[in-house]
Amino acid sequence: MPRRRRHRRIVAPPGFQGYKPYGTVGESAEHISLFYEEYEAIKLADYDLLKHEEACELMGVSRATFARIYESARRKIASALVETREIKTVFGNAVLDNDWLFCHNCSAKFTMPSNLTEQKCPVCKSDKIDFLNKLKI
Amino acid sequence: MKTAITSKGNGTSAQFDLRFGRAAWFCVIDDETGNTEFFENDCANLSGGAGIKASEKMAELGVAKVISGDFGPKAKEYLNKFNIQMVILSNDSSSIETIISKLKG
Amino acid sequence: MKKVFKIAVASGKGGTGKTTVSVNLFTKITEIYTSKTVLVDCDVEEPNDLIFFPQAAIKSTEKVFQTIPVINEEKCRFCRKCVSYCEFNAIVVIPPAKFAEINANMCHSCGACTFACEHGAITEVQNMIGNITNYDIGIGNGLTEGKLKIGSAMQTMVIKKMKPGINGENEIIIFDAPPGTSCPVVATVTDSDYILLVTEPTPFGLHDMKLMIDLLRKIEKPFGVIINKAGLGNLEVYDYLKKENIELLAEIPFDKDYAGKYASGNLLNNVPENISKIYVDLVNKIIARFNNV
Repeated sequence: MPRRRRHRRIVAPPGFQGYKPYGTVGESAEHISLFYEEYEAIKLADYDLLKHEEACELMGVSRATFARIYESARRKIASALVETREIKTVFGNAVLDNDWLFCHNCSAKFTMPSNLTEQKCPVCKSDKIDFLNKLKI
Repeated sequence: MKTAITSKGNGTSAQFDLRFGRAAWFCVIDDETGNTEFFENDCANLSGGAGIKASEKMAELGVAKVISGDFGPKAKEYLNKFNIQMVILSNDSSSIETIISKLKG
Repeated sequence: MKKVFKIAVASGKGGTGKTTVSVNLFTKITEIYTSKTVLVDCDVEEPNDLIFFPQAAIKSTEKVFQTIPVINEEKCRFCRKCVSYCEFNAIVVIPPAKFAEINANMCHSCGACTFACEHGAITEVQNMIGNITNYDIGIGNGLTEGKLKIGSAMQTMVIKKMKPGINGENEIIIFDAPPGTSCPVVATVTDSDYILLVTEPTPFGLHDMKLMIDLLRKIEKPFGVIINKAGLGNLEVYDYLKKENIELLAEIPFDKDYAGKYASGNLLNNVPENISKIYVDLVNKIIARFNNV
């Protein structure tokens, strides 16, 4: 069995759902899925100008894993630019700093403290619940 | 288990208060007996730190779940620390009664 | 002892040109009066005077610490006495959970809780809240800048620590104050000999200038007004100054080209002839005041 993938901690999901090239000729190829954690890696390294050592700590992964995520993010963006492909942001393996859930039945938003075992909506007891940040895709 | 609901007044017919730290009252329901008890929030008008004080009160009352309209950053920090579940019902102007009956299902 | 003249540049409203005036005034004074002048950026939440001196080199840096109390949960009896003493709601104590904590960002270092605790559970530690940096910028005695750590609310502490540390032997010190009329502004102007109020001829500029004038009259500080961006807005501010008999020290016309240069960080190069002359006049007025003290 492969090792469990550690969740990558991110502060906030990207403020957009995707980027589309314009002024292109002909139909562009299929979109590229940019993971939230890849967006976060680019943000931390190239926008906040953190060192990889600092950034990996913030995301709760090892330095090598951070480098892999960052590399993958850059390659995805590069191929999107060169091949004029659309970028869509996808949840990936991220976990938001503060986990908020959403109930599809009664629209309540709530947290799930670690001592609770029952994964149900605290208001209507529905089990149709999802992570809030997943809904933004 | 006890649940707290932020309330604008003292009594189950009062309106749900969308603020947490600066809510006027807290309605505490005992899930087993169904009894409700109202506590006035004496920290509602503090110049700062109302969220912290309200979270402190929740922990003191032994509440496991808080229902409000939103939670500020400091309230979130402390409620998380005390393992108190936060529930947000946004844009809900219903009365405390209605929310209690929703909880009972 | 040698006389030091301290000038604070304040405004009330933000964005009226405190920094523009401070930086220009500073360079002009060093050019035509004395190089024993230092510029002090007291807008510790977002200091930006440095941007206009790309040649700046760090001379020295000093960390600013705030003393904050810490509760030792083993010694704490959870009596909540410290909580009742704390004016700033920075202490959380929950007896049933045996939880006691002081929130460093809310704490104002007043020391009341340490005094209140009867069980010796509260000790004090040093918490870094900002930096004070002295820069050599090749002009006068340089620039001193205070920078507050994000999240801290102790602006006044950084400003107060900054003042005794100003280096060099100075005849004139210019404080670039933060906007507004709150505690950090008071901490900046409180030991100044003269205050330059920079305003703009708009209803907002006038309104906030009045607040600042109320403050300065209360703490009995002499001041004069500079109208920046003259030509915009309306003439209400002139009527007000005349009615209240307040000295109008200078009027700086609005100039789009010059504003563009400011935006690109090029404030000090190619100052238009007319604006340069306005600053010369302003310096002369200030020096006259200095010599009369």
